[in-house]
Amino acid sequence: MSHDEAGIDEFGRFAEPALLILTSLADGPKHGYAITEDIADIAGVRFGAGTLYGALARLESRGLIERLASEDRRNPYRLTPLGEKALRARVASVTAVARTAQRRLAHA
Amino acid sequence: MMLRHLIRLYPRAWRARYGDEFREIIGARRASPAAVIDIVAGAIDAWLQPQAIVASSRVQDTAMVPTLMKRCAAGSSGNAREHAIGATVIFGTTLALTAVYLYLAARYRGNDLVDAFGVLLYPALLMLAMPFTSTREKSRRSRLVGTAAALAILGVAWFVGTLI
Repeated sequence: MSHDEAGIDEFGRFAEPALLILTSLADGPKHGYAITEDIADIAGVRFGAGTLYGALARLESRGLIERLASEDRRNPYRLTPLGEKALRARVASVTAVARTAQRRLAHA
Repeated sequence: MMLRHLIRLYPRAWRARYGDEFREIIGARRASPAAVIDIVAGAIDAWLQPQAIVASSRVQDTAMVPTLMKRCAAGSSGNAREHAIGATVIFGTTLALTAVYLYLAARYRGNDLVDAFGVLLYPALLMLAMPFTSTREKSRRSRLVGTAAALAILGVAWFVGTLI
């Protein structure tokens, strides 16, 4: 397990929201409201504002995302190189688990 | 409408960094017990586990509620037992009034009186705790009259607030 991946795991109840936020930002910067709507589309869950910003603050504090300047009140966030690395590591881990599950279910 | 007031539960530095975005999101949501719990849980997390990015904004926390809580906890004097009693009364009253508010918010969703009660909940608990904290050295009658008068003023503010 890489250091970056361990960082997300240490988020506790914010780990899953953090992973979905990184996934949402993988195709470009978004502001908070757009992130919640995108996550609702891709995962079928709509996080409350308390959960969303708890996860965003953790991701920002660890340098996995960064906030971009904006002229209005909606600051977009984007994935940093460190965040992209953490997301790739996490996706590889999840994919490996999914492949194992599929292989074992095929023989069940 | 009511959800927007709950942002006051968050530390000032947190509100300075995320407040505008946060209001936009909760403004698009319907108030529900789940939404209230999520925001309150987020506020507790923001106080207990402040993140580096928020702390780096270096905004001194002088929000009304924390300042009042500190000043009213047991007054400027008092021994350890009196401080403990004051803190226990404030904590217990907070839990009790929050439970009442959550019940009313779920039972009477969108009711202006309930929304106003939510806003005035924290001043109310401080006033209810006054006889055990800042006015504990006064006579029993003074404490009773003082607390009743303060609550009456708050009650008028509560009613007037629903008319505005």
